[in-house]
Parts: sequence; structure tokens; C-alpha cells
Amino acid sequence: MTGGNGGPLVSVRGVHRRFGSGATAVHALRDVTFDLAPGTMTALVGRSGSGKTTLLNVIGGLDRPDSGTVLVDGTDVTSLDEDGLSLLRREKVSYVFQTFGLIPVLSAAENVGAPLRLARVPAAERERRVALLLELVGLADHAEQVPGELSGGQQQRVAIARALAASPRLLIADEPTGQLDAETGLSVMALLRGVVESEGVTALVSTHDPTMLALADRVIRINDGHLDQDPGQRSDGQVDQPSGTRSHGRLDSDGRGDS
Amino acid sequence: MRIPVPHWPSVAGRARADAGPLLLAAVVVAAITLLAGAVPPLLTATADAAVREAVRGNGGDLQVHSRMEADDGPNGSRLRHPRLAEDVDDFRARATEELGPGLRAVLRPPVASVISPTLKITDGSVLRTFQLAYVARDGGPAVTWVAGGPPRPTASETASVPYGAPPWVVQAGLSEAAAAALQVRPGARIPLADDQGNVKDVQVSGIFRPQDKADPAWRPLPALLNPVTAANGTRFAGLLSRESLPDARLAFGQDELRRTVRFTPDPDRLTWAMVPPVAARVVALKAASGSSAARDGSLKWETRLDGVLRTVSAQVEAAFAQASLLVVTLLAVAVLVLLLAADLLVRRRARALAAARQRGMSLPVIGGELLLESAVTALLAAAAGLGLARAVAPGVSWEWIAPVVVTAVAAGPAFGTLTAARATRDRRVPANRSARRWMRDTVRLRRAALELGVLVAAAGALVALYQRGIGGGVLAASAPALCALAGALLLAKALPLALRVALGRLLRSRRPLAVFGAARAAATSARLLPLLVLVTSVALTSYALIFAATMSHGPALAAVGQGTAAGPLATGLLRLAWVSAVTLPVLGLLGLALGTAAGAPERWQTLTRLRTLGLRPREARWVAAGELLPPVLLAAVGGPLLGALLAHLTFGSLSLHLLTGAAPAPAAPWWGLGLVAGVFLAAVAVVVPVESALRRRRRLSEVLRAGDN
Repeated sequence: MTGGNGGPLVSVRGVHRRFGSGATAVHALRDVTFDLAPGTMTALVGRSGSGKTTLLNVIGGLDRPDSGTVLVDGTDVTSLDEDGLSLLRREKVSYVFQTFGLIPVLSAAENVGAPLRLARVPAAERERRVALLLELVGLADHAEQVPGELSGGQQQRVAIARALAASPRLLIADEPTGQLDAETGLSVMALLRGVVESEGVTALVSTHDPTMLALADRVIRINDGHLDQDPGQRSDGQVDQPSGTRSHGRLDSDGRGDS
Repeated sequence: MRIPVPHWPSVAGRARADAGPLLLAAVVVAAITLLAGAVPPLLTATADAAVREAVRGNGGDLQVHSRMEADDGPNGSRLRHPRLAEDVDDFRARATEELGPGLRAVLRPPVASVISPTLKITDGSVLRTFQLAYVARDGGPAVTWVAGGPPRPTASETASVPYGAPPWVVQAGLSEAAAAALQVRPGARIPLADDQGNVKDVQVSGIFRPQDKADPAWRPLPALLNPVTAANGTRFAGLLSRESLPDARLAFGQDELRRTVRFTPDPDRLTWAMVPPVAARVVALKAASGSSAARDGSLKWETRLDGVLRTVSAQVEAAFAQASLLVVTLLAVAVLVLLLAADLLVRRRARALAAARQRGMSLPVIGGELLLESAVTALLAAAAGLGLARAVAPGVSWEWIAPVVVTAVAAGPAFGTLTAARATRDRRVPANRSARRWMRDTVRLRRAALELGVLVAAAGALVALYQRGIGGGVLAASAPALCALAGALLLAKALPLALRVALGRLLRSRRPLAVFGAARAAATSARLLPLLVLVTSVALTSYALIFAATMSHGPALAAVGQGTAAGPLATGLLRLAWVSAVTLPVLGLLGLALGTAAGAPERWQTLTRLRTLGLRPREARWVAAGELLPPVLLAAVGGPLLGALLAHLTFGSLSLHLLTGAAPAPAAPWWGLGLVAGVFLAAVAVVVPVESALRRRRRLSEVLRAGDN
């Protein structure tokens, strides 16, 4: 069973991913198995080249494993065709990237509303949701500014708001603080932490920065394609439930200091 | 000082990795070099043909007249001059000498003639006239006497004739046709009288048959061979001999015999290059001619050759200038395409160049390596183009190839060195907002100055064309190309505004794909070069099509084959216009492909981001089409309109009437213009799926990873 019935939202089983062939082949993932409980924020930690991004891509359907299965909210990601994957990304999985990936000529509000446009959400509902999300990430006053007029931290906030727009079950963030200074990075991670609680979304966040780990419910370490011993992974294969100790209220946008 | 040495493995590796764009640039250089190298000699050959056609069709014989010396003798008598034929020979030699070597080289051997006034045959029948003529050229004309013999003297060599004496008897030969028509035999006398009723006594010495009827010696008086029927009766002529010429002189008044030397131009020896000196000499001869009233032995030159040459010169010069104009349009678009190719190449190499610079490679070495590569590519391609030109044309011209070769050699190294320099320069974006704005404004100002320069150059070229006409040099010939570029620039400046307006409207619509397409188009619309290539190529293609249609409707082309000089020129120009009308859109499509390739990484990075938001693969193709379509649509709609506007602005100054025979109104080949627009629009429908198919091989994760790097 999966997230819908109290089980894990994400279930990764025996995933292998190899790039190239023969003597030059690189094993990016080797027999990776773990689960993610719904409503948790998990930090994926590892050195460069350890396989973090490959693992995120395989879970999000941006890449296919050579073997193994990935279930997201009960859907076997590895069996979906391109249209099925598109639907998965439209409804259940969203991404935040290191380089933000905003459309430069669209305002912050239009960028946030982009997934809702794709989902053909009516304009009134879209505008309401966008306003809510910009409020959530503390950029209500910057709604009409285009990305070029925003700081790096603000752009990443817009990217996070966009990732939450379609109310995904899983938010995958690949080094979301990689291009930000330490203070701004921390505030972005705090924002992610907040939206996990406020929106009930499950987040899997890769990071280099050990200072960010304190904000995560759980830390998964990956080394040369293997998962290190995961303190959150129990020997019986079940997962720890989220602590549930944090508030689910909206984050206060004051004092983030990244603008 | 240590001389920088290229790192040969890097040079070879880069060339191998970017063989496609390099080959494409080489093909452009070769093709344009072929055209630019072959057109001038082909045009010169056409000009030669036009000059020959003009001379062949319009005559242009040079005739020189001179009065004979007076033959007054003592006591009011006239003396028979036995060496009159030798005088004619001397006159011919003198006239030939006076021509000068240049003019003499293009003329056939002269024919000297002494022709009497027209006499009436007074046998009471229908109106028939008669002339006596002595004709001579070197060794001719040869005749066979079929009855009787050649005219003989009718008196002693040094006889004298008192004034008022009876008509002097003169012998003449008749052609078989003339003798048959007049029903006379040797020894018969032909009853003749002049306009005043003075009787002339001409005796038939014999009947001859010409050995060569085409001998130019017969041209001064064709009636010598056959009676010529005209509105004022039938004309006959009797042939004088060297011996009977002195008698003919005495049979008429002092100045009644007309002594002429006729030079006929040989069209096969005349070339366009010889026209200016020949025409100048002819004019000088005419200017130096004595007045017809002068009673001396000076030479009086008459010819229409200078007029014929003047007309054909004007036609050839107009054709040359019009051809230059078409070649300049090709060069302009080729230069833009080469700049675009260099831009694509440098974009592909930006990371490698930055890395090389960061590793400590000096800018001269980077520039030198790139220069080595581009020079080898461009010079080999140019050599191939010139070799092909030599194969298809009677010669090769270097005149026009410099802009293309220089661009091909220099653009890549210049762009590459700048990119490498920017990668490591210590200038940072200022933290101060006003300083940032000042920096931005400086860049804008620099760009605006460049654009203003293009507009000023276009206006200057147009003014030069209006004031000096098509013969006003390179600037005037550049008017259509520069105006097309200026027009394209204005349209390119308007496109971002139009796209922002369109995007604003689309944002209120429920069409997400159109929104994302327009957003991408708006984001990339600031890139001027691809847009300039597209609009300029379509505009100049339209211009060439209108030019060709206008030329082909001209009466001169309808008259091709009827011996008009404008015919070969108009046909040659029409061919060049069609070559331009085909080459320019090919260059434009190449520009579209290059621009698409240059923007592809960024476009697919964005599309991949949108894919992570749930965009389906086929929807991504629509978004890509939405990005690529606006500039092509602008070119497809604005290009033909710009081309038509240019035609209306410039055709009046192109002297088309010199080749078409009348001042033509610009034609409107709507089918052609529509076809060009359709081809460019259809190209988007081809480019998008091809690009999508090429990109599909890469997983989304690869694209995102590449972008993040």
C-alpha cells in the first residue's frame, strides 16, 4: 500500500542505473531501495557524482532505471510512457531546480500560474491560487515583476511557489540552494520546510550543505550509487512516520532577508 | 618575445567537432564566390554580344567624303585626268591612315567609290533612273565579262574639253540583270539626262557577272548588281573602270561626282572594352571634319557609329549597374548568413573558449587558432568557388568576392576572441542600481548608434541612387540591399513590442501553449541577427522577383532574336535576377536553420523545464513552433511588402527603360511572392519536427543536467 492508505508515498525498490557500457560504464545507482513517508521532508546528501541527481530524476520520471521499480502515490513510474509521465508531473510530482528555470518574460505570478495553465485551471481559480502561493513564499508584493528584476533567492521562491501550484504529492528539489549564498539558502530551505508542513507535500531535497540537514525530517546519504545506512529506514522495510510536531500554518514571510 | 604557437590538437579537435557549421559556411562562401566571380565576366561577354548586335543591327558604317581636285585647264577648258583612280586609291589610304590603329582594328577593309548624280533614262518608258559608279577595294570587286569587255577610255589620256562642248562619251559595264532589263548589248548607248535636262552619253562596254555578290565593294551601290525597284522607279547603275573614270569626271560637272570611302565595322572584332576608345576616335574624326561647304580636299566624316556606340554603352552600363545591384543583394545576405554561422559556432564553443582562457591561453593564441581554422576553410571554399566560376564563365572576377571572404575569415575569430575575453574579464555587474542602469544604457546607446548608422547608410544610398542614377557607383548599387537591411532593422525593433502586446492578450486567453510559445518568442526576439537574415533575404528575394517580372514584361525581351542590342543584356540580367531570386531564399532558409540551431539549446532547456511541469512532448513541439513562427511570419509578410516598397522606391532610378525599351511599372508577381512566403512558413513546419526528433534522443534529465552545468 502507498501514501493514500498510510503507506509510503514513494517506494523505490532495487533500482539500478548505469551510464555507458563495458569498461567505461558508470554505475550511478546500485540496488537502491527506500521509501518516503507522506508529508515528510527528506534530505538526500552525497558528494558530487554520488548519484543524487540520477536518483531524483529516476523518481520523478525524468530518467528510467535499468532495473527496479519506483512507485509514486501508487503509480509505477517506470512503466509509464511519455504522456503518462507528463500527466504524473502535471498532477503529482513537481520540481525545483538549482537554476530556478523561470520563463524570463513572464511575471512572477505568471510563472507560478504556468502549471495551472497547463492543467487548464479556470482563470479565477488560477489567480486565487497564485496569489495564495506568492503570499506563502513572501512575494505577494513582487507578483508583477519579471525574473530579471528579482534576486536569486526571490527567483527560487517563485520556483518553489510554481512547484506547489498544482498541489503535487511529491516535490523534488535538486540542489535548490546551490546558487544562493548561505543565508538566502537557509531561508529557502526553511521555506521548503514550511510548505511541507503547510501544504502537506512530501519533499525530497538533494543538498551539499550540512547546515540544511537540521531542517529535514530524515536524511538519506548516497555514496557511489549506494545508499548508506539510512537511520529512517527500519529493518522491516517500513518507514518512520513524520514527526508531526511542526506547525502546519503558513510561513511568516518576514525576515527572510534574501531580497 | 615568444611567438604564440597554436595548439594543433585543439585546432583539429574543434574543427572536427564543428564540422557541420564550418562546412555550411564553406558552402556559402563557395556558392557566393562562384556567383560573384562568374557574373562580371559573363556580363562582359554579354556586353560584347550586345555591342556586336547593336553594330550588326544598326549599321554604323563610317563614310568619308572629299572633293576632287579641280580639273580646270587653260582657256576655260577642263583637262582629262588619267590618274584619277590612283587619286581615289590615295584618298582611301589617307582616310585609312586617319582612322588611327584602334579604330582601324575594328573595321573591315575600306571600299572607295565615285558615284555620279542620279540620271533619268529618257527612253519614254516608265520612270527609271541610272547612276555611274566606280568602286574599289583591295583586289576587288572581281567580275567576269560575259559579253563585251571592261569600260575603256573614250579619248586620249590627256584630252581637254572646252566648256559648252557636246556630252562627253563615257563607257560603263552593266550587270546581266541590268542589261536584260534595259534590253541593251555591248556598244549600245543608254539615253540619259540629268535633272536639268542635260543629255549624258553613256555607252555599254560589256556585260559582267560578279564573282562574289557578297563582296562589300558592291554595298555602296547595290543597283550595280541588280536593278532596284523603289517607290520612285527602278534604279540601274553602270560600272566604271579605272580607265573610264576620267571620262566620267568629264561627263559631269566639276563637283558632281561624289568620292567616298566607306568603312564597315566588323562586329566580330568589336568588344565592349574597345567601345570607349573607338567611340572617342569616331567623335574626334567627326569633330575634325571640314565643313561640307569648304572647297578643299579635306576629309569629311559621316557615321552613325558614335550614336550606336553611345546608345549601346548606356545600355551596357545600365546593365552592369543593375547586375551590380543584384550581386550586392546576394553579398549582403551572404554576409549576414556568415555572421550568423560564426555566431552559432562561437555559441557552441563558448564553454570551451572560456575554459581555454581560464586555463591561461592568451587571447592572441585563441584568436590565431580560430583565424587559422576560418582562413583555411574560407580560402579553400573561395578557391573552389572561383574554380567553378572559371569552368562556367569565360573568366573570373575578384571584384565582388572580398566582402564574403573577409567576413568568413574574420567573423568567427572576432566573435570567439570577444567571447573568450568576456569569460575572464574582471568587470563585474555593479551592485549600485544606477551604475547598472548606466551600463545598460551604454550598451543600448552603442547598439542604437550602430542601428542609426545602418539607417543613415541606407538613406545615403537611396539619395545617391536618386541623384546619380544607377551608374552612381557602389553606394547607389547598394541602395536596395541597405534599405532592405534598414527596413528589416525597423521591423526587428517592432517585433518585441508586437510580441509583448500579443503575449498580454494571450495571457488573458485559455491557450497555454500559445502563451508559452509567445513568451519564448518574446524572450528571443531581442536577437537581431537571425531576424535580419530572414527579413532581408525575403525582402530582397521579393525585389529580385519583381525585377525579373518587370524585365520579362519589357518589349526588348519580346524582341529578343530580332537583332536588338538590349536583348542579350536584358536576357542576361533576367537570368541573374532569377539566380538571385533562387539563391536569396536558400540563404534565408540557411539563416533560419542556423538561427534555429543557435537558439535550440536554450529553447529545449525551457521546453524541458515546461516538460517537468507536465507539458506533453507534442505540446512541446507546438510551443517550439510558437517561438519560431513570429519571426518567420514577420519575414513572410513584411519581406514581400518591403521588397515591393523597395521596387517602387528604386525602379525609377535603375534606367530599366534602356533595356526594356520603355519605362516599365514594377510588376507584381504575386504567385512568386506568395510562394516565397509559403516556403518560409512551411520551413517552420519542417524545422520543428526535425529538431524535436533530434532532441528526443536526449532524456529530459540530460537536458536539465547540461543546462545546469
